Amino acid sequence: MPVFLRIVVLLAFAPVLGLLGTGCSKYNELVQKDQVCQQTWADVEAQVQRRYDLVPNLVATVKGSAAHEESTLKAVTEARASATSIKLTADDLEDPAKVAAFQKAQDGLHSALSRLLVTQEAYPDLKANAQFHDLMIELEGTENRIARAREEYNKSVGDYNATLGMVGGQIVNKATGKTFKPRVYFTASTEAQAAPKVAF
Amino acid sequence: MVRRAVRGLLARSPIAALVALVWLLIAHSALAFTPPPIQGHITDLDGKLSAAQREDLNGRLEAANQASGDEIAALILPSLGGESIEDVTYATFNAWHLGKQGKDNGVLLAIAVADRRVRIETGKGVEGQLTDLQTQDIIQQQIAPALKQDHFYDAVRAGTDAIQMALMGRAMPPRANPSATDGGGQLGPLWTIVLVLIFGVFAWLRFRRGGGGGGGGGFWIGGGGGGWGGGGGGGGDGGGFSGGGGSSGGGGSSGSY
Repeated sequence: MPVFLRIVVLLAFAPVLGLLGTGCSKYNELVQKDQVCQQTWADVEAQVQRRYDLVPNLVATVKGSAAHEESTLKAVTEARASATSIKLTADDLEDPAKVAAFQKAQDGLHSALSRLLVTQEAYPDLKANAQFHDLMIELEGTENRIARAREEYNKSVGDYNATLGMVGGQIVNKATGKTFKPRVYFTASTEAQAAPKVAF
Repeated sequence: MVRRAVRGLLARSPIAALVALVWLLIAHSALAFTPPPIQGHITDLDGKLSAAQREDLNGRLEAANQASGDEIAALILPSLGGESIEDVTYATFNAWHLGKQGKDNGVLLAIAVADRRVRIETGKGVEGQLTDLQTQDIIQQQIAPALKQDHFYDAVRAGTDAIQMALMGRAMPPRANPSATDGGGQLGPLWTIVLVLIFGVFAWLRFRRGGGGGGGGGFWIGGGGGGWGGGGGGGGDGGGFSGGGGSSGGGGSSGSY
């Protein structure tokens, strides 16, 4: 092949190669950001599990000092049971209905716990109980961690969804048979905005 | 034809709408508070410490940093400006990147003067050594009593001393029920020697390269893996300490005084 023809062929293919290259890197970027979402989601799950683990101890401690709060305690136990029954896998995070159900169950547990904490005011010996005091601090820390983990998750979802939503991401996604789906955010309900306040 | 295709793409997929929502959400969740620039280990924005006190505390915390690698910083704020102390310390911690990258061994002690609030925020890597309960004990037993008398130096000194002790796995301040002592992650003597050696080699290398540290004060350690200059600008005030690349997951606890 004459030299000029080779150059022409090369020039003709250069844009194609370039496009393939950018397409691949866009694909890798999406995969990587998707991984970050899964990681931050795992953090949310770990912190939520921490909350589940605290509840039985908390209920047992309160029961000892505040026997009159049978209904409040029952509400907390039930809210925990219904929250633990909803497990989200990474794929479920693309389904708004499933995320909403998870969030509703979590908010339910959160508000049941908040109601329980309000009742402590009526029980001086409960407030003086060292174990209860420790559990309160644990709970406060856990609620804060859950809030942070959700923030981080939302941030990573924002990053991922934006990449996916931009023209380059959309083209790559269509070309690869729509393997990527946008993920759903957690929106903090007004009630869940503030961690239960613990006052000493 | 191309225009038609693009328009079709946008109309058919709700993704574009989602992107718009992203920005709305991010804008919505943004804090009104912007973390101040770090000024070494001690960032006193309310003038509660004298220059000598600041230098003393800075020296202590820098010594701790060089011995164990733990990055402890304190922030004194005039006011929270309507934010919660949890949000403020979390934002500051992660803006300062306290702790080494990958080790996340930073701790931030924050005092909001007008709000009379204190918080100890722990890095993800030290939550085992310095539990939420321990931070609460440090606040209640070491920090709050001094703050009630307006002794800011004593509060920061006692608080950071207790934090250091906890991080080294040493005896904790006495508490009523010693249930939550967790010795995990204690540095053995061998590790300490290795760390000191590593630091020495890096310091020597840096010295040889002639990098101008922080005004003769000390060398500062940047992000763990990624070479020098991990954190932001490195304030240049006193010890020249600046956070190394660690992050917090919201550990620690808060209290009032």
